[in-house]
Amino acid sequence: MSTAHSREAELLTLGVLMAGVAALALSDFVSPIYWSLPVIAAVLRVWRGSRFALSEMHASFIGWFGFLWVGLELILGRAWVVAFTDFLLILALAVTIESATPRNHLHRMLTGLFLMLAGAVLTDSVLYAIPLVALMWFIWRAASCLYGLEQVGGNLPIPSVRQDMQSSSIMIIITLSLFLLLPRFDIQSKLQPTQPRMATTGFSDEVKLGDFARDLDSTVVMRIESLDADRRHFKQQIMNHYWRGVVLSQYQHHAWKQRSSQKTRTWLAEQDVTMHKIQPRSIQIALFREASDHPYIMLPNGLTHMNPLHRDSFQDDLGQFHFTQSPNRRLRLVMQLAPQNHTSDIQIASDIPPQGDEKSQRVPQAIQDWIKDRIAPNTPAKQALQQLNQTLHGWTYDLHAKLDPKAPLASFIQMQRGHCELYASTLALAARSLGIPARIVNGYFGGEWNDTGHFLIIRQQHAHSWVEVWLNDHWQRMDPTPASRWQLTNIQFPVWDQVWETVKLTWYRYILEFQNQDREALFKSLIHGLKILLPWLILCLIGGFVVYHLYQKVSKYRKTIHLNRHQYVIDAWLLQHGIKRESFEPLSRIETPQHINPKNWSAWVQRWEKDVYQQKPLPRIRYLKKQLKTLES
Amino acid sequence: MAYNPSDLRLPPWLLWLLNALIRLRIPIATNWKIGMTRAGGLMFFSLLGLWSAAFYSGNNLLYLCGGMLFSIALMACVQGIQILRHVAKLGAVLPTVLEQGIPHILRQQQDIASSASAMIDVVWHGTDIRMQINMQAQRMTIMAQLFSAQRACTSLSQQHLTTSAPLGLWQLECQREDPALWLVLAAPVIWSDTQALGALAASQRIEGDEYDDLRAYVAGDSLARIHWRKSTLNPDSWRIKRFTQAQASHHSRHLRVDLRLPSYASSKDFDRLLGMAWYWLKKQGQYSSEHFILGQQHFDLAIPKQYQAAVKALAQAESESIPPLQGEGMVLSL
Repeated sequence: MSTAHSREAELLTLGVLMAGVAALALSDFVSPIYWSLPVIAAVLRVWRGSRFALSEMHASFIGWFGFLWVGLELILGRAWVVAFTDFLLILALAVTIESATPRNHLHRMLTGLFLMLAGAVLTDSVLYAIPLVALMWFIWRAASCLYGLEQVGGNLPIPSVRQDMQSSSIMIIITLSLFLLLPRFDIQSKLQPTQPRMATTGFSDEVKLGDFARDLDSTVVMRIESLDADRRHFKQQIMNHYWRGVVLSQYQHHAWKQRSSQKTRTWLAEQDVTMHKIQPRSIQIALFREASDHPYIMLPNGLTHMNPLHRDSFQDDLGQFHFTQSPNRRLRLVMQLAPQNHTSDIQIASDIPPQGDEKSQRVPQAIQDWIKDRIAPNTPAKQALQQLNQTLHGWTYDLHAKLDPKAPLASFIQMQRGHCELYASTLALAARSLGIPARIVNGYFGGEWNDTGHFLIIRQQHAHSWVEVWLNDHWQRMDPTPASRWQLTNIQFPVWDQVWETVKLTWYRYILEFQNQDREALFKSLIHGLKILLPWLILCLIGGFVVYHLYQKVSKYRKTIHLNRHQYVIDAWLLQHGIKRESFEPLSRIETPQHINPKNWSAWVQRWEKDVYQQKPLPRIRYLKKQLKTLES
Repeated sequence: MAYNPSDLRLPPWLLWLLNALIRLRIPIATNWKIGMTRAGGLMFFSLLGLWSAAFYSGNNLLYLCGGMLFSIALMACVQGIQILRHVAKLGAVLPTVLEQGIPHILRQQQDIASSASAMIDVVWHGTDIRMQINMQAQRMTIMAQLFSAQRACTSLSQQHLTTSAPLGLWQLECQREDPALWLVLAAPVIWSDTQALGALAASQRIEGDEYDDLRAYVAGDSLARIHWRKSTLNPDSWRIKRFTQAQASHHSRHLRVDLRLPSYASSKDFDRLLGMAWYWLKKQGQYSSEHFILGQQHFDLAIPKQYQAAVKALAQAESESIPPLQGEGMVLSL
């Protein structure tokens, strides 16, 4: 085995392994410490060559150590998925360091492939496509290199990169075709097609005042796209929706808590969820929910219907919608919303009268004082609440207002600046003080419109708190937060972010969530598109065919004309020297023209005919005339 | 091949199973068969497991992984087929004649239209004629060590091409028509017709100095024919005597081979006789004016087709019970 060849084989099999490591590293379950170990070892291996290598036996010690280590991790209570990925990466480290032998090449390729498959189960990142394509490339090249080693007559060279690029592009097309065409079976409906994640977003059931502002970053919580064919007005229809999440009713020690709730209705998996009678022209949306650590489904105002969910779920008397168990996967929920002008007809999904906590009139003194200052005695409660709401609207929104932790609401009222949870808490407690049952709701409002992909993104920074008050025998929403709240944004590269979010949604929509019905829809739209484009396609084909043939004819004609012009010049010159040549008679057959040196003439004829017959570019007419002039001299 | 699942130290039963699997050949089209190498066996089972997991779980990333592995396997298969289709007909590459017991090393290079790195095994159906083709870039080197212990005259037609290129996963087998004539003649036995024919030897002796003219020396000329006296004058160019009588006698020479096998003679002796005849035939070469009589067959060597027929007849000669055809010239017999 030549050194260059074995070195190439080693690098390529190392490439296979590293592609696998990269795929698994995308998983939330993998700690950077573990994936960086084989990567560092690979870098050292490339740099130091065989000097940074262990014998097969020594490398196997690392593998055994990994096995014991993982056992210890499991005993110490680490999740088995995490322990499993740790073991795989320690194994990858051992295989990286192992000295390059034929068996080691095979170890690397198999381990790389296994890591890639583990990554397929444990990650759903769009970046997974990169190691997948890299793995395909490296497997092809490595197998090709290993095949060529030690053959009869020496090592066979690996085909050129250009040649393999062509093969790779065909392989990518085959892969995508198989992905599109192969059926999806509903063998194990409980297994979600999306992958588990550890990353979490969302709310908790207990919120201390002041904590709210901590997590308002740009982490994406939901992406919402239209499923309707007509998407022209989708932006106007979907923006400015309240996405109702956790309902908090108990206020104690400057913190809101959820009161114990009761199930009012249970929906089994695969059962349609109908919230209200469907409106005549409803909007159908797909909500891509990122993995969350809470079981709540964010319900937009105007929700009329939800397609069957994959898990059992229920609605409680607070109008919250729960999964029985928090899903740790991305979810795609299909919902129907009433049109924007009908949303006010759709009531909040709870008509259960207020319970004890919501009616409680134990309100902090600071709020009672504030109400006394603001509201004239004997003002009707409803009117007083409206006045307070108006007042709060005039205050300043400030995410970083420095509150007194001992009396956050008092300092908020004093400073007249703070974040939405303080506004909502103040209004809810003020309503209770006025005798109106109230509670606060944590959820999301508005969102960010993505112009590139035409969908709505709801980020953590769109989290919002508002108030629900019991008026006219049903719960009504009141939002005291000033509008300036929604002018805050902290996206650094908005254009790039929009493109990247579109890529992500495309990945979720067309790769992770691709189903049989999507294929049908795709084929239908393809056929529809073809029907529209077919006449144009035929026209283009015919046009292309005609243009190509015309081009061929013209270039041939130009060539002939070009040659004929030369012949014309030569014939004219020959006539001047007393020779009349038949058309297409070779120059070599005619006599030497008068007053021309025969030697020069035959040399020139030989050169000229060689150029003509070898189809070399002929000299310009000017040069030809010059050459003929030279012959005369 | 540098990677082989047997390197993985699989248990013997698994290796046995794998070996049984790789012996399988599945027809994929007329004259085309596919099998798998050990690495291909691993790939096959990986694909099987992967697609099962993908179908069961509905995990689309597993679908992508399965599609990717399948496309590699498919592409390897398609490229293997293309490589075999680009191999030129090899009948012309075979030596026109092989001599019994003498190995013939074949090494020829040819240009090919497409670029590929592959090793191809070539076997003619029903024979042990094997070749190996080493394809690199746009050039293929045909290598073979041809040997036959027996005389033979076989019309070759069916040829099997096998390769596991480009990845060493699939063993592709192609059967095609590649007609060729496989002639194995007895090993030539060097002899001198002058030794055999006393009369001719005697006539040589009486040549004396009555030569017709002189010509320049060429390598291989007998020392006896050098005109020493004239050559010593000019040592840079030796002169060789030419005799009209000798030429005349040479033109009229024929060889008759008696193919009768006496009881005391063995088949080895018969091969030796044919070896002597082959030596004579080879020495005369094509376009010579000699006549060659082999048992009951007569060949005019001046006609190229008859020369070829003579060679073929020598390759497939069998012992006869009757004397050779009547005619002039030397007789070779046992």
